[in-house]
Amino acid sequence: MQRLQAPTPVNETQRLAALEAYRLLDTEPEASFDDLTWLASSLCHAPIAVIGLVDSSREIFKSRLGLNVSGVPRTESFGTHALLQKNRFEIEDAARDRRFRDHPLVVGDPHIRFYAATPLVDPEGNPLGVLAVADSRARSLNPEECAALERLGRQAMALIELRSARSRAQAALREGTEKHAALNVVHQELRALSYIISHDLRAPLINLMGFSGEMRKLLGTVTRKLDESQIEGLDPEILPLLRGEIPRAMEFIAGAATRMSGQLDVVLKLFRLGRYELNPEPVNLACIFQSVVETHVRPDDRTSVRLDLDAMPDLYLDSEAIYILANNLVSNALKYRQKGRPCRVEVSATHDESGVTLCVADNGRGIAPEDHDEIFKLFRRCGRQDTKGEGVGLTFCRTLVNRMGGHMWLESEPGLGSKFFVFLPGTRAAGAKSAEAGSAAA
Amino acid sequence: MKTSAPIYVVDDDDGHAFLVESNLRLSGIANEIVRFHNGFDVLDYMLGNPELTRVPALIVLDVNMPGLSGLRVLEKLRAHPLTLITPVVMLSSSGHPPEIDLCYRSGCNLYLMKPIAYEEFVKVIRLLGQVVQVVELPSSGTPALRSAAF
Repeated sequence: MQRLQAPTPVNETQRLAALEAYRLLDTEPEASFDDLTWLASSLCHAPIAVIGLVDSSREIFKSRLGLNVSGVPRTESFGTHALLQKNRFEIEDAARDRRFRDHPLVVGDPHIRFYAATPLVDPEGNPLGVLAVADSRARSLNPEECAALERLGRQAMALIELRSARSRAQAALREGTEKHAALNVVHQELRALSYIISHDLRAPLINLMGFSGEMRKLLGTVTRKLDESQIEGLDPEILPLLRGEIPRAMEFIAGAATRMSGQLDVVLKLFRLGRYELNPEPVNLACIFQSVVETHVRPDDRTSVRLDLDAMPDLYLDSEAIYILANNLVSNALKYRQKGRPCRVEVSATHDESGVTLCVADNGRGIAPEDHDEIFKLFRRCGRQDTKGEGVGLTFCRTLVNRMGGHMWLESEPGLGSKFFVFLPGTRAAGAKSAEAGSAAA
Repeated sequence: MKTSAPIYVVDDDDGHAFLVESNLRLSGIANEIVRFHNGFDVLDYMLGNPELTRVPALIVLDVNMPGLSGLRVLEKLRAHPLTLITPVVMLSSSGHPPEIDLCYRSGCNLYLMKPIAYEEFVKVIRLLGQVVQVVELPSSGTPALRSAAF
């Protein structure tokens, strides 16, 4: 049986991909689609109505009325022809149409004569399928029936769109819920880890420190007793070992344990800062920075620190967190100075609707571009190691800034200086406004 | 404190237990010190022997022990008439604030953090030893016996 085949639509690959993406093929019947075929059948006075989707090999009926097949091969599909039309496709008498006269559904049950379809075209212009009506008697659609079919076709496409949007939203929601659950697990694990650090990792250190202390004490006793008893023939190398090398070895052990204990405390503090309960209150940046500067700079110092914060209103922020930030940034600016020139530090801030941007600028040694990320990492220190430090201050700062919903960045020129910026979302404190108004009135 | 009643030290860590015992001793404590390696051992020993005459004057209890944690041991001790009011000092290497609260809420009398630095550790345990020697502790025996004596 050689029938005239419908040509393949242009952009067929793109069309099939679009159809696939709607995830409609081979899905269960849905009442909302069945309502549309019922309406099409009723308004067009046709006993048969379908919503057919044309994939690479079949026309599959998402909804069908008056037809007892769930789909047909593409070679026997009316929809494949209708798909190629921009608008309505109509065959008044299939028995007289050489494309369809020997079609199984024309020759056999349900003996289709009349067929009319409107293409279902997605917003990108891909025809996915058709809304079609059919009858076993030859006829045509009157203008009202045409209008109904076309409008119902647009409704069918809108329904497909909505259905797809809904399932995308559901998938996103599901993914969000899963991510949230996964984050909760991570959060619980972090809490557990902070307990492990605070307990299980400290317990062995107590022994390391304790017994190197005991050893030191015992060594002292042994050395003293050997001295006192004046044993004849005692190898002269033994006492120097007991007094020198062995205690020194013990010191290394105790030193390493002390360092590790300090690092554990830092990690623990970091965990606590990350979960720090913010307590926003009206904060005066100038006051906080002033008190920080006073703890770091002696009057006779050749250092100049200029605070340009007078114009800043009181802001609704956590004062404890701001103090930690100010302390770390100012002490870093003073610490990493460039040899041979007096240290100058400038603290300034700007404020707008979204929050406050702080800037601590120095004329110090600067930071190489490749180290700009590195310096925020725990226990990492960059550049010349000629000052004391644990490499934790900026990590604390970043953790706190993140906790406050802000962010931190820097600009730096090696040899010239660095500028550390902190953005914090923070609204102007209500009290500050009225205070300003009060002073203006006075 | 009467020196006739023993002091129990419950700690799974041999090193910690040694440091605690030896420094309690060095602080001048003359009482017998009985060491238990875990929570089950001390509960079995105390609560499984009703004829036990020498109820401890003091229990030094580690918080973090495998099997039965110090907190669970404390709860069991507080639920038993024999040890309802026995003074319990909790020792912990953590100092985790929620843990401290929980210990006191469960009825411990003192919570001490085991310091990591040797000198600090020695200082804390010796101070504990000195304090224990001068404080008055409940007399030995069951609460019923105690009230009868009163």
